[in-house]
Amino acid sequence: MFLISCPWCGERDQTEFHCHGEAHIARPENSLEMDDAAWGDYVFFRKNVKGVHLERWTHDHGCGRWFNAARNTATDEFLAFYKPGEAPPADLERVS
Amino acid sequence: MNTFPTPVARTPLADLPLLLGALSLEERPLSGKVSLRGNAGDSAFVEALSARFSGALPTQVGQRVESGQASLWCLGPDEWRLQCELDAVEDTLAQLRDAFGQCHASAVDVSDYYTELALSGQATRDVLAKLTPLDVSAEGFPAGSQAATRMAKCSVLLHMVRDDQAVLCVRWSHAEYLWDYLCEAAREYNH
Repeated sequence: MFLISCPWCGERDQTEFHCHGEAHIARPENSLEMDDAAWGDYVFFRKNVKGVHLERWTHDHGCGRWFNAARNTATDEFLAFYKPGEAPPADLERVS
Repeated sequence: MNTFPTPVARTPLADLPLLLGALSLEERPLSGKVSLRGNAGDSAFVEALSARFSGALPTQVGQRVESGQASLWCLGPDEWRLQCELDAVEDTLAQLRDAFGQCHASAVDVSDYYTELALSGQATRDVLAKLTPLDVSAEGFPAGSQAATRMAKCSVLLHMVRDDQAVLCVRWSHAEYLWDYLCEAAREYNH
């Protein structure tokens, strides 16, 4: 059993959650001037890190809320959970 | 000319036989349910609810307060479920919407979006444990606890009413699936 800590519900089993990919991708503000390559980057291209990855999760079967998590993709270890709108913890050992 | 039978109000599992034995499973009569959304930091919203529910608004997910025939569950940081008698829903909605006034909040009648199953018997916790990843032991989930969780493949609001009785609030269209799953899980305890 793999446990995930929802910021609102606490520790729950992973099967209650769903991962939605990389977090902190801001919608570009100059969208009118963007060319296809820039749009392609924004819409399709994601980091594929081996190491600490910041990602979005939802607690589908619990409170239904979105939150962010820092996970090491190599060891599958969760390092932090934080609410949307919050900055990721500063002390994570990033590998990028 | 074809004539259609007069529609009759029924709950989704009304036609299924009750499961009775050491463990019993039954569908509860339709109750009133209201979905409330609002900002717990907005004093107008909190006051509107506090007027109906004596005591503070529950803000911890899973917390529940009762007031007379009604109860208020905190389902998320900005979401609550009010449960009351079916007849009281219309008045409750009118009162709440009136009390909310201009504040950014909503009250929606979801009474017939969900149905409730009651599972009772000594082995209640054992049956629940087969379906949910939640710790439903007496220590981890004592009587009175409630949580939104997964049971088999559906989302369920689980309320441990007593040590030997749980009430499961499930979506109408998932009800028969959950019912079948519970019957299968309960079979070994019902000789």
